[in-house]
Amino acid sequence: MTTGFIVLLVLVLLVALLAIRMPVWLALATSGGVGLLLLRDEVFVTRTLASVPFEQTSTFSLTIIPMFILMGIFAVKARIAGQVFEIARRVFLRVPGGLGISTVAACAGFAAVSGSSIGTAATMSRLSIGEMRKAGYPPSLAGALVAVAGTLGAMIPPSVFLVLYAILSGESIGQMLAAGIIPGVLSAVAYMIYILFRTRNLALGAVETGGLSTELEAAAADRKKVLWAELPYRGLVRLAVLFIIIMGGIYSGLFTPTESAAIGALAAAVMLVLEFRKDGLRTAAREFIDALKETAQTTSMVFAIIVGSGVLSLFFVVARVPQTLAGSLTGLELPGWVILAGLLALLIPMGMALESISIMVITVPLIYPVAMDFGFDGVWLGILIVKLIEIGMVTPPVGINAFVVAGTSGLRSSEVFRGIWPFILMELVMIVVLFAVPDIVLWLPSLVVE
Amino acid sequence: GGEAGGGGDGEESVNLTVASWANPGSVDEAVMEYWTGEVENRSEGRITFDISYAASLCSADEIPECVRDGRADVGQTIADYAPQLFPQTTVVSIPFLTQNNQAFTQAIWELSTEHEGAAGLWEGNGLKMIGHNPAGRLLLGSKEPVESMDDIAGKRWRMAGPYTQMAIESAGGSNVALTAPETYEGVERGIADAAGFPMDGLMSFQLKDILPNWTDPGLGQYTSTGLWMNLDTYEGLPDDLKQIVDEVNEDYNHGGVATVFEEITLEQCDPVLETIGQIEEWDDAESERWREALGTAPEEKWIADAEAAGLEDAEGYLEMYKEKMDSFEGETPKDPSLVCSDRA
Amino acid sequence: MPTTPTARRPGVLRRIARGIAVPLGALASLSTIAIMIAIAIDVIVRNTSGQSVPGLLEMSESALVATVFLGLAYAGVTNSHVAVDLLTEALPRAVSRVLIGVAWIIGVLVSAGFVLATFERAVESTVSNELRQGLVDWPLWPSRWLVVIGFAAFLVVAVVNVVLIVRGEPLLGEDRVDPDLAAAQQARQQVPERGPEQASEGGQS
Ligand code: NA
Ligand code: NA
Repeated sequence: MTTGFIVLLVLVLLVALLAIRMPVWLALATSGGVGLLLLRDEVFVTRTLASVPFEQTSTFSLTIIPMFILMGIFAVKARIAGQVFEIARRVFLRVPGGLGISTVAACAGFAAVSGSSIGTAATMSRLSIGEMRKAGYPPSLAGALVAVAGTLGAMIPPSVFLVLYAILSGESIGQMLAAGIIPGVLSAVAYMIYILFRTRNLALGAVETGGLSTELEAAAADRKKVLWAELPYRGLVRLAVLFIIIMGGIYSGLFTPTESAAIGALAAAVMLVLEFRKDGLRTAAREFIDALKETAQTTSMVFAIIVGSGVLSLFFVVARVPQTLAGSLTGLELPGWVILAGLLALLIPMGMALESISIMVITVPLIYPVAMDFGFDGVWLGILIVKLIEIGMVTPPVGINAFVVAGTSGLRSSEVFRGIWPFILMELVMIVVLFAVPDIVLWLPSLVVE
Repeated sequence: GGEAGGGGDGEESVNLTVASWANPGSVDEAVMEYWTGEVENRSEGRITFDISYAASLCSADEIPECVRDGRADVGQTIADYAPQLFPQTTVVSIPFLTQNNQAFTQAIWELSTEHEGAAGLWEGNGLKMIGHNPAGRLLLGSKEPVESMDDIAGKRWRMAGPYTQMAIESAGGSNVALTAPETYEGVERGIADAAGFPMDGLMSFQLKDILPNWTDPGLGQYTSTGLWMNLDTYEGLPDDLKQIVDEVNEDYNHGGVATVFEEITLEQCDPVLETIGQIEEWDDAESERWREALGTAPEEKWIADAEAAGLEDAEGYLEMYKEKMDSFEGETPKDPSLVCSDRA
Repeated sequence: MPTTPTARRPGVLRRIARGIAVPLGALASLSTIAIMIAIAIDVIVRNTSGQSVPGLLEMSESALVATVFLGLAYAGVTNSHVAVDLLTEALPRAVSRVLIGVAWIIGVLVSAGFVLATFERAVESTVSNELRQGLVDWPLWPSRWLVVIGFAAFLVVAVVNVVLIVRGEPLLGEDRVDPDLAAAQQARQQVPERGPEQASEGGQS
């Protein structure tokens, strides 16, 4: 068997195993292991299975991943998202599409304390979709908006995805986290502008148009009377504290980004206890323990995929796939940006069918060396890859954020997917802009170092 | 093991898999290119290599294991990543003991057969030794110049390994735990005030850009990179190829690797000196004061550690090592890092 | 995803799997907290005394290994490992159960491979007293054993899943009511024109 044939065989096996619902991490490890068995021998496979799990986990800089997960889950349980949403609701009350806009604002805000997009989408879905539907938003618009705005969790720091990219590529974690801020905020602004125009053509309730009286306007009047003074500003304060801790890890001299994640988690734990102190010690303890269990589950799930893909990546190395790929691509005699654009475009079909962490761990070791050969910036490349992975989170048939929104809101996932397309179009435009103007991405990280 | 192919006796050819931790542009990459190039040339292409650099085949601390179990035929990494496997080479970690890089390489090579305990270890660990070369003299980098023990005191240091950390403590400094790639950010954020690295580190970890003052405190060499072949792979080679490998190894240890090291170090010299001005050497008296303050604690620790890791008669090994260092005095060329500091 | 909430008592196999995975999951949770506290202490001590606490960095690494591998089976019994159910949802239930069964049989083999391989490595590491030298000499063999324990517990989960498939019962974690899905069902009852819920991936948050 030629190496090329074996590579093809391994890819087919991977797809087959995924199709029969094998857990992704096992499918990655199995197909990689079979490939290594064909290329080398049984000893090689055994020793690989013996070393990869330990190597891929026993690394200090990786502790940042469970810490970001823990901080996000504590923040959810401390009801920070709900409190921020309530404040945004009041701020945008008289703006057309104000409800949708506040949803995006709250997603962006919560993204600044949550490391994962799934957490952001699940939390905001519970809070806002019911309200949007009551106000007359088409269900597909409401669902798609939360699913898409939820992906901000992966771009605005803290972000497990930015950290994972930094580790896979060897770029600085601090620079990657800083690089996510501007693209994340720009995306949020783009979603808000879309909502502003989209809701103009809809017959929304009075709250959303500032128009004639319904029972909703009465509710709005109620809000105006009570709100400003009684808004849960503590949510905003806590959000700010956590975000400042994360930024402190990137820009100050007190601790590293890895350490800031642990301090942030500790601060969020304190906030959780404060939030529940009136409900008694037992309730607070229960919420705390639930958060720990969820963190352990998610951490194991994420690292299992990293381990599985470690086996598969090793197969790629032994089969010399990156070298072959780079060699044949440079042989094409196309401009570097065309080749890179082509490689990045492959992430869109992958994102439709595959789970997001797996896409990152499979593709970064292949794309990154090629991009470096052509002299592109590694931080900029990481932001483009994360942006494309965000698209994969909301595209059918496998769109984890759409599923989470469906699961938590009672919408059908097909309905959520139906509203996705205008957002995808905006995302693609955004990617073209970032591709063409790298300075948008690279300005903030340039302040971190030098 | 390696894959054999080709015709009958004297015609057989092998392709060997190589796992190296070396990054592009580093001294160790040049060392690997030198050794594999020599073997390929002298065997007239009958031995060829598939080299995976940057720890892509096996992670840096896993490379010795990879060579032992045959995932790779040849491996290269920092020996301190597996201190339990190479107690006979960690003798270089004892501060102020090893001043010259060529002397170390040659001493470890000779002791690998002359000292019974060391020979036993090399046979027992499933590795055919090709050679060990030091990473370079320990340089101290800081924001303010560090020219004496008093300058070390009160600062937070990032040092590699327990022995240099003992040295820092004996001078009144404190140690912070940072991995090598974290050092740049650690210094920038003020987690560490200063760091100890070889010249290669000033380049590889961009430390010359953040720590403007570098001095050579006279502590000397402190860690080594090892190059090994899987023992079964070696023994499975046809006799004529074995002989070629043996010859290349002899040359490697008798000046070959030191020449490559010198070449790359002097190449790095200019860009380093351009940024940091000069590498100041401490007064001999001050180095001596530090050595005395440190005392014999590191030697005692090393003997205990090495015996625990299976080196029999570690004390005798240390004596033989010291004798060799004395006998090489003046015989070996000046260490390239010192040549570089003389240039400024 | 078939989420038939079963009211009857879980069978003995389920209880065995949960009996192994849940306590390990609790330890995984504790080690997450250990990482958080260790790093926080290090930051505080370093910013006050100027010196890192020896061993905390190495301890955090080992605690991460504990979180990941002690939580592996727990993520298994709660059905939290992501999987793609695109094809299996589209096929008739009987066919998809067979395919999922095949996936778990391979899963048993591969998990067993991980157990044997990591076991051998843990023994070697223990015998040679493998360590990492930093501010302290940190032994690595205990965390290598955590890896073995984690895969062994996951192997139990995989075997139990195979048996459950053969018996035609829901897999581990599929018999428990997902709070999000329950909320979704409730919401559907309030908005009667909505159809049945589509597939949802994993049970993670
Ligand atoms: Na985020
Ligand atoms: Na998708």
